[in-house]
Amino acid sequence: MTAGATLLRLLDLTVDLATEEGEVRPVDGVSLSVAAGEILGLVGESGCGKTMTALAIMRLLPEPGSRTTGAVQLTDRDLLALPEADMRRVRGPSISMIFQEPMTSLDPVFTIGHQLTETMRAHHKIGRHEARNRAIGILEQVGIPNPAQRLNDYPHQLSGGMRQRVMIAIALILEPQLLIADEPTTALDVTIQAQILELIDDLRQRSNMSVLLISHDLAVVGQVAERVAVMYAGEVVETMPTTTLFAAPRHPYTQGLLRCIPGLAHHTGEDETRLHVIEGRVPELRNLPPACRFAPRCPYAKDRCWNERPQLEKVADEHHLRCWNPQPFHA
Amino acid sequence: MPEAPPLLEVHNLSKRFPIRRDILGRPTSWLSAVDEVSFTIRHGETFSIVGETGCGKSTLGQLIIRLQPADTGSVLFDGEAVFSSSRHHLGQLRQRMQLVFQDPFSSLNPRMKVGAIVSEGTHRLRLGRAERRRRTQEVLEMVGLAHSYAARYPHELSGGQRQRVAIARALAANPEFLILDEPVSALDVSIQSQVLNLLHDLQQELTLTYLFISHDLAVVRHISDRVGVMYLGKLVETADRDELFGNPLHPYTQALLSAIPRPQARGQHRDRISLEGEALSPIDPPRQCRFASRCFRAIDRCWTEVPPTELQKPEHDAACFNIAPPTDSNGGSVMRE
Repeated sequence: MTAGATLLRLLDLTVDLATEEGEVRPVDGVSLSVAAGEILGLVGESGCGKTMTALAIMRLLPEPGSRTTGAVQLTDRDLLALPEADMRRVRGPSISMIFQEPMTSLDPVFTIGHQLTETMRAHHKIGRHEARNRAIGILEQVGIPNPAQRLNDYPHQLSGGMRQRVMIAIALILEPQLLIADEPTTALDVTIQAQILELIDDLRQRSNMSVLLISHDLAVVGQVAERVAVMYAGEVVETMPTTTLFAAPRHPYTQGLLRCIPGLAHHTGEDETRLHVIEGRVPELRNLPPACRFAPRCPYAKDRCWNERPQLEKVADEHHLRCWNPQPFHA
Repeated sequence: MPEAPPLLEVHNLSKRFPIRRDILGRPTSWLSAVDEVSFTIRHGETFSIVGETGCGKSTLGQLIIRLQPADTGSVLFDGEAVFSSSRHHLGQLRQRMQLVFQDPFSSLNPRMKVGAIVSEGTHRLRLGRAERRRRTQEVLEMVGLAHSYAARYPHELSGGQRQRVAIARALAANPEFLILDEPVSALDVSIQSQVLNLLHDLQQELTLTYLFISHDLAVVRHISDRVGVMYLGKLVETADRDELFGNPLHPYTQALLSAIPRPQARGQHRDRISLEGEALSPIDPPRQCRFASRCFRAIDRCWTEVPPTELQKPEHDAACFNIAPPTDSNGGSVMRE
C-alpha cells in the first residue's frame, strides 16, 4: 500500500437536505481517508450518496437548503470551518473536480483557451503569455493533438473524449493535491475510457496527486484504484484494498454487486446463463430501514440486523465492514 | 449453434442523411450512417450489434423495422420483404417485430397509465375489450409486475420497472422478434442483471429472436449467440460469441476488446492496444477502409480501397485487408482470463 501520509480525512461527514417532502440525509456519517498519491475508488449505485459526498467535500452544496456536519480535513485544516473566501482558494489549487458530463460543465461561449487561462489567472499572478504557454503544455499532457490550435476552439467543436480531456486539463492546471473525479468516463466510449483512466493514473504517478474516483462501475474502479469504499443508501458499508474487493469482499451488498456484473465474477453454480440478482430495490431516503439499511434485500439478514445499527468496524488490515452477519465469498 | 433457419436477412443495407444543401435544396454533403451492412439472424437466437457512439447501430435497428426508410438494400423477415410491403402488410409485419428503446424515461408517455401503455401494444391483434385487459395483465405478469401497476403512471416507477413496462408493451403484440436498443444501459448493475435475466427467460418461454444493440461488451458477451461489430456505419466483423471474444480478427475488434477494464490487472494495463489518430469523419467518407486512420495494422491498400466482408473461417466474417490473430500481449487472448 501507499506509504504516503493522509491527505484527506472525512470524519462522520453528514449531509442533510431540505426537500419539498421534508428533510432527508443522503450522506450519513461517512468516514474515509485518502493518502497522498493514492487513488481511492468510491462505488455504489445511483442515489447512494457518492456525488453528494464529493459536493460536500468541495462545499458546493446549496446553502440554505443543505447542512453539512462532521469534518473534512485536508492535511490539518477542517474545510467545513473555513470562511467562504478561504474555501475559494482551496478549490482549484488544493482540490479540483471533474464532473460527469463534459458538455454541460464547459462554458459553451468561451474558447477552451480562455477557460484554461482564466482558471490560472484567477489563482496566480501570471501574464497572458505565460498562461497561454502553460495552457498549451497541459493540453499536450492530457494528449490533445495540436494544442496551440485547439486553444481557439469552442467546446462544441471537440468530440466527447476531447472535451473530457479539456475538463481534466482545467482540473489539473493548478496542480491540485487532490482530484475528485465523478464518473469521469461514464459518458465515454470504452476505447476513450481506457485512455482517460491511464491518463489519470499517469498524472498521479508523476505528481503524487491523490484521486477520489467516484464510479458506479466496479471494473473501472478496479483497474486504477488501490483501495475501494462501497456506499449504500448514504453509508459506507465496506472499505478494502481493490484486490480484496474482487477476491474476498465480506459485505453481502458488495458480494451481490460483484456477482451481478456479467463476466466479472465467476458465476458459480447451476446455470451460467442467469445473472445474480439483488432482490428488491434501494430504499428511499425518507423511508430507511430501522437498523441495517441493506437488511430488506439481504439474504443473510437476521434479527439483529433489524434492531441494531451496525457500525463500520475493522475486520482486517485496511478492511472495514458494516455488517452483523458477514459472509465468506465463494469465487 | 444448431442450424436454425434464418428469421431475418439483411442485405447491403445503407442509409445516408443529407447534412448540407446547396441553394436549390439539393444535398451536397452526406453523413453515411449505415453502409452496405449484411447479416442474418436465425430463429431463436440472440444476435448482438456492438459498437461505439455514432457507429450507426441504432439507425440500423430503425431501418430494419422501417421506422426510417433505407436508401438501398433489403430486409427479409421470415422470407417476406419488409421494404416493399404495402402499408397494411407492413402493419402485420410490425406486429411480429417490435422495438424496445434505450431510455425508459422518455419512451413511455407520461400522461398514460401503465395499463393503457401496455394495452396499446395489442391494437394490431384486434381484441375485444375484455380480451385486451386480460392480455395486458398477462404480459405485465410475464415481466414480473403485479396487476396493481396497471393503474400507475410511469413517473411512479423506478428505471428498472419502466424498462419492464416497455418490454411488456412490446410483448403485448405477441411478436416473434424483438429489437432491443441498449435496453439495460440506463440501469444500475443490480437492476440490469434483473432485466437481462428477464429477457433470457422470456426468450426461452416465448421462443423469441433478439437483435440486441449495445455498446457494453460485458453485457453482449453474456447475452449473445452471435455478435457483429460496427465501426462508422460498417459491419467490420461477425462471428459466434465465443469465437469473437476469444479470437477476434479485425484490428478494431481487437482494440475494443483490449480496452475493456480488467480489474484484477491493475498496473498491467499497458498491454492495451491504443488507437492513435482521429476517427474518420462519417461525412462524405472517402473510398477506403473507414478504420484505417486509427488502425495499427493499416497497409497502403487500406487507404485506397474499401475492404470487402469476407469469410475468414467458417462462421466468421471480417472486412479487413490485413487480418491477423490477436497476439499474446493484446486483443482476444486476454479475454480468455
